[in-house]
Amino acid sequence: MRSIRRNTAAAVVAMVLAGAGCSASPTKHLTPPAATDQPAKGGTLVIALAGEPGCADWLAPCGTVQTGFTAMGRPTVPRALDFIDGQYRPTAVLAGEPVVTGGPPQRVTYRINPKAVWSDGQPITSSDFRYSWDQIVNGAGIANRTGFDQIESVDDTDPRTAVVTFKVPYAAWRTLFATILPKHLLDGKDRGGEMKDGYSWSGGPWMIDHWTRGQEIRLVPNPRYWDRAPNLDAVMWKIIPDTAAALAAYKTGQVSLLQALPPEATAADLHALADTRLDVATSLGVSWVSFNTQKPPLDSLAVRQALAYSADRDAVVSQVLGPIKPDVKAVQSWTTPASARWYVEPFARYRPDPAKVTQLMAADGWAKGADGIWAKAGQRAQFELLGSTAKSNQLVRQILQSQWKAAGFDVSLADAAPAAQADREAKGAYDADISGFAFPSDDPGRCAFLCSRSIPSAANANSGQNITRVADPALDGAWARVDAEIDDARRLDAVKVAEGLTADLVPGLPFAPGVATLVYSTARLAGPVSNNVPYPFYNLNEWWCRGGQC
Amino acid sequence: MVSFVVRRIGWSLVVLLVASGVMFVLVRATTDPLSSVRAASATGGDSDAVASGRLVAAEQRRLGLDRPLVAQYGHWLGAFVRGDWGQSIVSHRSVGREIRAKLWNTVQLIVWGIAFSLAMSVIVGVASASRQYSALDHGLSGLSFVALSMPSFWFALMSIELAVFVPKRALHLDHPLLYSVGLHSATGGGAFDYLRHLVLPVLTLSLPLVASWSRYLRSSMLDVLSAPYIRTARAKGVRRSRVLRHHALQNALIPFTTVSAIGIGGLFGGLIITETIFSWPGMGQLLYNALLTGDTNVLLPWLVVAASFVLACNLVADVMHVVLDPRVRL
Repeated sequence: MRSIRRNTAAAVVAMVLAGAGCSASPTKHLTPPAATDQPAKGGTLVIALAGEPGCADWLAPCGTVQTGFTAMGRPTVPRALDFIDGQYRPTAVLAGEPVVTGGPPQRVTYRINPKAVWSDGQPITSSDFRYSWDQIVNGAGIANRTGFDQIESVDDTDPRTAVVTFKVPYAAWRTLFATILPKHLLDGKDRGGEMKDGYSWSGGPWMIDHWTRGQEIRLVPNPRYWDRAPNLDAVMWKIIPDTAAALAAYKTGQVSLLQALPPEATAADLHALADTRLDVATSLGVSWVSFNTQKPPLDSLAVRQALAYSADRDAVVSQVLGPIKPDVKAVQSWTTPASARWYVEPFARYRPDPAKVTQLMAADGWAKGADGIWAKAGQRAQFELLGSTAKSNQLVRQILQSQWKAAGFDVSLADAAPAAQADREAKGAYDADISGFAFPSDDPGRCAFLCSRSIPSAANANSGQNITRVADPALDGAWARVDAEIDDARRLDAVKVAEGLTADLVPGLPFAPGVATLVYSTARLAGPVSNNVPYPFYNLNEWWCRGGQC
Repeated sequence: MVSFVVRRIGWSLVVLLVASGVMFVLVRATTDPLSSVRAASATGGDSDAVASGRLVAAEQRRLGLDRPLVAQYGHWLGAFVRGDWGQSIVSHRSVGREIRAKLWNTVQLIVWGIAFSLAMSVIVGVASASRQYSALDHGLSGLSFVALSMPSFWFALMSIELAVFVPKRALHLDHPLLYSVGLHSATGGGAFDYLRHLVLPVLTLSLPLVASWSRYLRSSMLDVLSAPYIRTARAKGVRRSRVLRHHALQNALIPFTTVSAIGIGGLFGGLIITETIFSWPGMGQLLYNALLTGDTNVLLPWLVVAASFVLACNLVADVMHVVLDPRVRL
């Protein structure tokens, strides 16, 4: 599974702030799009990019900032399946649907499209599947090994057929092989070193022309792409970290598309702009507060539960999203309501309850000091809440800080850039932070975030995304069952148990559903499709400039 | 003259050495290169703590942080002089490479900013002084005070609104007359495109400089214009324009060079706001991001580069002073 960590700005801007129409009205047309005209070739599309990744090695922690993967990774790195419109579909890399034999052992056979080639003309083969699996399982500096560590072998005897055999049944097999790397170019080399500043190869419709850090990323069509060739001559991602500057750049026509509704803008502002369209689509992401369960005072279960009972999450979501979406509610599990068939609500038990807070804290030996803050054996109930400099992120943290302070917790706020935040999370160098994840599918497996084997540590070179560092055998078992249960009905039962156990342990506090927003000029651009995947650029090769110029 | 310049360069190097030492101590005192490793060691069980403790110790040895501060400074200075500026904690790229890339972008901004500021200051200062207490003088003085009291970020945002957005909307243009993002357009290039990107950041950077420098030059000019030799020159029938250009301005520029050099050195501070608002990928943005991300490895080289820039400006000012006023050589 490749779960992409959203940078915090994107997480809160795209998931939280831009949560308009989370479920009721997936798309808002400020100006009705013209649907009758035909795609034209040529033109350069300029998109504002809020944050760039630390590196372009998409397997490494420094490459997990989603905006970076969206800009460079997804258009250039081939994958086996896409999750679009609620269904998994084979990408152009495959010749058809993968064939699954339930086993045991469970086997998945991927038939590779004979036309699929890398940008140097070499065919994409089963050896690339095998190499990618090997890198993820055995390579250095891997962000997430979940699922791949359940694979027994990848048979690459037939270059056009990759046969994946699992050690145990693995229900989320469709989420695997979302990043296929070219063995013939990387084998025997330092993958991270080769890829960190960008790479010249591609197995997708686009190639990286250049990445000038802090400035821009330019993509050009991959001339050897075997499927639908891009309409555009180039896509330029202008790196504009300041949301006000990005909005000004959009208003003045210097960029044609914003990935998220800037906090400075409202739908009314956009109405004032001619030919502007705001797409708001439900995404599969969730935003939550992560607690570092191995650092005091958050290593105390009572403290975490008390924090959960002190937070009015509906109020947080309402205050941030209210002006746009009055009826939005807090998320009550690690799964977003958009994943309707798997969504359960174990966190609904955590409503503001001062009496419960007092009871939990007192039972754990805490007493309020003269300053109104809980203390125990000379230790005050204080911690730092980390997040990005995005205004919406700051607002969420300020509201939580205020709520928790009223309940007797001393919370300070700290800002970090996305890459730095990811680095601190991976090293456990934080107390609590606002995390956002955009899941690539509706699969309910969350072992990557909640199983002890996914805790990043020095021993595993900071692999894994369990940044809460929760380590509980029962929780491990419950989430492992979710991964292993093939039957949907029984899997839902497993999800209920695992989500319930997670709510008991409170390694974090989910609060906002995910949405994806796009703001773009219909006068200049056509092609974007709203859907519930977190990658609105999945069909970027079909986009086109009206009049040949975006 | 040559010995003077050599002497000043020597002193500048000494000052730079002392400044680098002070900055090294301050950066070491306020930041911890091993903070993330240390923080990580606070998590995990006992066995993890032991492993992390070993890791911290190993990192300390590897980076030479277990040695005395003086030895650390010597080691750092040696590496710095050899061009080994370390690696960014965030991007894992060479700090030297990062700074070189950003410095070039910033140098462009500074050079154009200085050129514009100097030209405008001289024009405004001379015009004000030569028509003291006239409507023009009052008008220019008023504008200078407005410019001095106007926050740069506000001017930048207003300039985007008024010089980019309004004309584009009013004239129904496909593209704005001036740009507010980056160094060049996605599709375009060339000198004209570059100029359109340069205007607003340069204006934002220059505005406070023009305001203060023009006020200073006006005062300096007025001092010189009241000197007896100016009256003598005028009494001898020398034309007013010649007096202003050859006698007054040349002498008024002597103290002005010192003031402007200090102002140029101070430009580094204003870069952060300008580069952030105009998405200009320069040194200001690099420092801002380094502070935000706690990238201590970038901070020290950045500060030394900034200090070198300030010293270089002062050196130029001293040399210019000598060139313009031969009495200094005596």
